[in-house]
Amino acid sequence: MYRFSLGAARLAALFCVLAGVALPSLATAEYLGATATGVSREFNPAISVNALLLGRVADYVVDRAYNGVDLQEAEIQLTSIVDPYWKANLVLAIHPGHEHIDDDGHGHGGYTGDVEVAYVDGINLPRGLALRLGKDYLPFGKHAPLHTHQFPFVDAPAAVRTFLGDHTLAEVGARLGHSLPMPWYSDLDVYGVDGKSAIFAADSRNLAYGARWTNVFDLSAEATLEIGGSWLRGPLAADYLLTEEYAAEALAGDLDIWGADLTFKWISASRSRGPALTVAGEVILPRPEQGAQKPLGWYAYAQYRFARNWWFGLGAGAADRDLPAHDREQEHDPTEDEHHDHSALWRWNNVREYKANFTWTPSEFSAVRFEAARYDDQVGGLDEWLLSLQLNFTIGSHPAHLY
Amino acid sequence: MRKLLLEIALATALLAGIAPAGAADRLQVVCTLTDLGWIAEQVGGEDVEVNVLCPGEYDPHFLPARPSLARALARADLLCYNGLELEVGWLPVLLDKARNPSVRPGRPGHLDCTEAIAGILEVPDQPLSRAQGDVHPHGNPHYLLDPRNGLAVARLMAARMGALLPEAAGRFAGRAEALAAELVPRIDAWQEVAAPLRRHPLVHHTKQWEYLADWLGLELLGAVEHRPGISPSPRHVDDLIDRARRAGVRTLIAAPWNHLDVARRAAERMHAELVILPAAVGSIPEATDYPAMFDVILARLRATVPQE
Repeated sequence: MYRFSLGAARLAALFCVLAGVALPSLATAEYLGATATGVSREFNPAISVNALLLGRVADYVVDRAYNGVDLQEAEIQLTSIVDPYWKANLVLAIHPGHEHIDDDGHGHGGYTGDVEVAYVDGINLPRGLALRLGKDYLPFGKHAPLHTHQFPFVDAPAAVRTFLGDHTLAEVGARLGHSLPMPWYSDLDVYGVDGKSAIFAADSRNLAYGARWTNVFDLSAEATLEIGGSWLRGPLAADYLLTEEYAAEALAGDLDIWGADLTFKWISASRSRGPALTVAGEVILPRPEQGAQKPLGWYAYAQYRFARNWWFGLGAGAADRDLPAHDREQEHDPTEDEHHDHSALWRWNNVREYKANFTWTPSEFSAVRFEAARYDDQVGGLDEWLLSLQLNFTIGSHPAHLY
Repeated sequence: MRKLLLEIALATALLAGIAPAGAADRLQVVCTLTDLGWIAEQVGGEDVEVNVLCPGEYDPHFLPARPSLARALARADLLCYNGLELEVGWLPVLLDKARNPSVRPGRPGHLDCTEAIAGILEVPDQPLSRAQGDVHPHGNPHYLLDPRNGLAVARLMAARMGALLPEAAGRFAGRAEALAAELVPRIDAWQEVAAPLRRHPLVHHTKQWEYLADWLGLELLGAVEHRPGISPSPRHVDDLIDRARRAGVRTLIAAPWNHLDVARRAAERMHAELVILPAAVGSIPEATDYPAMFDVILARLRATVPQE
């Protein structure tokens, strides 16, 4: 509904137009005449662009669409105060379309765009209430709400891609939040959304809804432990679990997804951008209303800043659809699935993943990451090595990231 | 089970929503920096309760925005911050998380202490770009390293606290003037201590000491990390060392949170002494309060030049 397609020329033109909007040197003269001309940039939103360039070598065909060098994603973000009551955020994302993959495994089709985020936050609400209206990532777990340039690894964990979608949990709706009166930081968010994600039935008129409970404990001034719980319920997509059984029954039932996550963070106070460690893990449990299938997904990783400009990361994870025996016997090639694109669900059956990367961050506004990843499918007998080199850069006034 | 969990969660949220906010007798003041926190305590006395977000030992550019910090902001009547984008990496996040309209921009409870500063240094007069590093586009934010600016901030705080708690306005103003009466003679004394330093140029690790130098009349020859937030290039360091040797630099000053291994190597090569100076109250144990911070700074700098 929100997607648009761009050729390379149009993409360049769009960047030029946005850069022109942001040029401050032209603004001063126009301030002086704004009363008469009506042209002023005084209240323009903060504008930033983040882009991810990705070079990738894969030894199997699953990611052949990315075998080569491409723009992984570009996000254009606009943030501003609307009036005394609302603060607005808009993120337009552009990524390879891969509408057609030729015999050599190269993707064609230019770029597609998406309104990833478009919401307002109430900034004048009483009693510590938070209200968000519009389109945003659902607060399910720790990884699903992240933008691509915030990922600890080049790709989202297999568990997230399989059961939540790479970038699909962006939904239109309302979210209400409140801090609970606990001795520690405790925050509860509840939401109701339209339910257009790949995990939900496309033709259902039912809403999806859920909640997240976040608890952060200060272990010291330098260390915190976060424990979170998430729950999401909505109409089950017919192909969510890839079985004939569910394809037949899905429209009659809902899908519950439960999640739990644990994050330890330590950031040394001894030096600016000094040693820092993050250890995190998350479990995702999809539970269809009908049937006995009990899929399980999890991931865990550690990131360590061992020098001012260098990070090292290690990660592992798994996603098991818990397929019935007759489905397990049929080898499934994920590349043949029509949903194999940037934003849809991953089609592996029972996959294990292992990742390691080094990231060089010469400033807060750019990073270069080298990563090796290994995927093994326990059911289909498929496996894949991925080597990635990613450049991440940000220009403009980009809002600070959450802790 | 699912329904039970949902009911518990919703009931808890409802109770939290209708619970009284907890009326406090004293003005709840949150300061971003320890220097500001000390000034707020002096001005506010027993009429205020002060919380500080950034511990003294942290570089205020890079404070991790722990969610627990937002809890203090959620209860605050007054937020006092340094401004000039010193806290831009974490204060906006905490303000959003705190969900306290009283301290949002434009409200009386939102105080940018830059308002008190008459002479902001290094306001760019050329177009900026990130090629210059993580520069502050509205000027150098480290004005609290000039104690005269600390006094100006104290008077500004007194006025704002008085506006928020009119019955104590007289006491706030009186305490600000008492602080001035205590600090002005000490400022004169620190300036006298610094007099011999004016003949000895300094090298600094990061651009942070300009207000201190401006106040005391010190010469800063250059910064090892000349582009804020960016590791210095070998060519720049070589050039700086060459200039420092020719100028007879004896001292390289750095904050405790700087990358001191880089500073130490540069100091050795320029045959200078590396001197760690407290850049904030609490950044080293001896800097127990704002005047003590300047006592330590002046004592350590004075020790680098021969007695006359």
